[in-house]
Amino acid sequence: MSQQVNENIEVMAAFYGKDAPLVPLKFRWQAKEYFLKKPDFYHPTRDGYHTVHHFSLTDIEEQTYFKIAFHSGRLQWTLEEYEPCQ
Amino acid sequence: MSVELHLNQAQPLIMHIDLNSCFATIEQQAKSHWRGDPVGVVAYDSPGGIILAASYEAKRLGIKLGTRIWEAEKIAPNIHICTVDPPKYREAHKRFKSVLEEFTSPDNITPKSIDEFVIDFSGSLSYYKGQSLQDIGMQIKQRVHEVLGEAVFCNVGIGQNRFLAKLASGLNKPDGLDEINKENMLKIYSKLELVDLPGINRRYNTRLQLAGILNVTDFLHADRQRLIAIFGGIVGHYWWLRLRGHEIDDKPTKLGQIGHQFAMKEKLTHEQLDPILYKLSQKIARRLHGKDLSAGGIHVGLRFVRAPYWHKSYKLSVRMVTAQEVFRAARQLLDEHAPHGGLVSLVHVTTFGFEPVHPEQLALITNGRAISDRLLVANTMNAVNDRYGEFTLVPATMLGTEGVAKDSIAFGNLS
Repeated sequence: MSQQVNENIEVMAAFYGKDAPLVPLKFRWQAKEYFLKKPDFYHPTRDGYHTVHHFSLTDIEEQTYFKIAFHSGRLQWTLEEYEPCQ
Repeated sequence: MSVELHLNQAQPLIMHIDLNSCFATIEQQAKSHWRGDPVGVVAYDSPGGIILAASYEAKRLGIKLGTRIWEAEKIAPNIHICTVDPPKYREAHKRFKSVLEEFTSPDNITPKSIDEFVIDFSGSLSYYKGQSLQDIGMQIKQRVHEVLGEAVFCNVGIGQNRFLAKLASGLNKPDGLDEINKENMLKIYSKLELVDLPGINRRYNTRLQLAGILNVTDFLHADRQRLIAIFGGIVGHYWWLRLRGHEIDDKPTKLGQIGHQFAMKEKLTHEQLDPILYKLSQKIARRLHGKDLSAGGIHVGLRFVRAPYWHKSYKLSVRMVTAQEVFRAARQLLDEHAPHGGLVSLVHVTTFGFEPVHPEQLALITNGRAISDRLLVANTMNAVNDRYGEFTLVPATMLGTEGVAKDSIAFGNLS
């Protein structure tokens, strides 16, 4: 079962992409940096007028699954959940 | 033989496409480390919660819709359980539809549920480019894989009517592509049981067995009058046509009801239900406003911890359009008819009897305000919630209901 977190994180992202308007590349959480693989799934939700972009992905070593989100109104990234892959 | 049986002689032009174990597969797509393992999607993750969708790996072990979480964990200790994530499945539905629109006009595509579509290729341009429907089916399967993700597969069925196309789509799950036509129909029917047919439930199966129709071949060979007698009227005639590939299921289904329910962790008496009842009413009213409808009837049901299930419905003289009106009608029904004192574990509110709000038929003699007047406050609240997010502005009755009756998703329709 995934652990719910909902903590703000710092993310490096590229604003390009075929399936999503942006692609997260790496992020920092609890003093550790995670390099990310291409998202396995992307889906948007609405928060009033703003869009929240959700990405389901794993780190490059495929050790941990993460769900991270970008709020287009607050310009804030959040780690929503994680789960060790083993 | 096919002529004697009055089989439809036309070319199969209906395609049924459905995603495999949709919710569970989308979760496996999102969580790559879950692929190949049994997965169960649930509404509530308490041990007594039930599986709403199981992955193929779980289904192979006997875990299916309705299995309790504790039972599933006993069967498969390595099962991954997760709660439903409706926005994820809506996105999958949207992308699934966009794939189909690459092959034909949106007018030819009918969504049957969140994870299945029907395409009518009669008169479709892409069909006349010299490709067979099987070629198009293969391309759709490939594009679904590319657009929705490598873990996502779909079944494609082709037939002369919607019934045969759906039946064909289920013949070789989880990654099938089959056609039923007048040449292979009898052979395929001979291998199936009555309950394998879409629309034949346990009740219909019993009715047919009692009438001496023991398998699908018997069903096909039964004459029209006999089926009319067994099903008690027009339904028997429809089955006679349907089995022969004649189309009778292409009429758009009318929206029958809009409702929401909530299963409570903390049990309350129905007199304490007002905040939850209001939130359910608010969600119903939002959907009514979205469709520009008013409702003429209400149905409320309560599941008690130690008492039989109770439910009641009634039609109103004044049509409901606002959350307050739905709430008042539900509350009145409970106050006047529901048993008092028992602890409630589940409540559901459903509205029915819909009519368009516009144009409004004004009554000459009325004791109420026009619907457009009654909607003024509701529309203002909707505008605020559209701007700042759902449930930003709520009536005081609803305070403290954050996290109650969360976003949910229906299997049967997309309303």
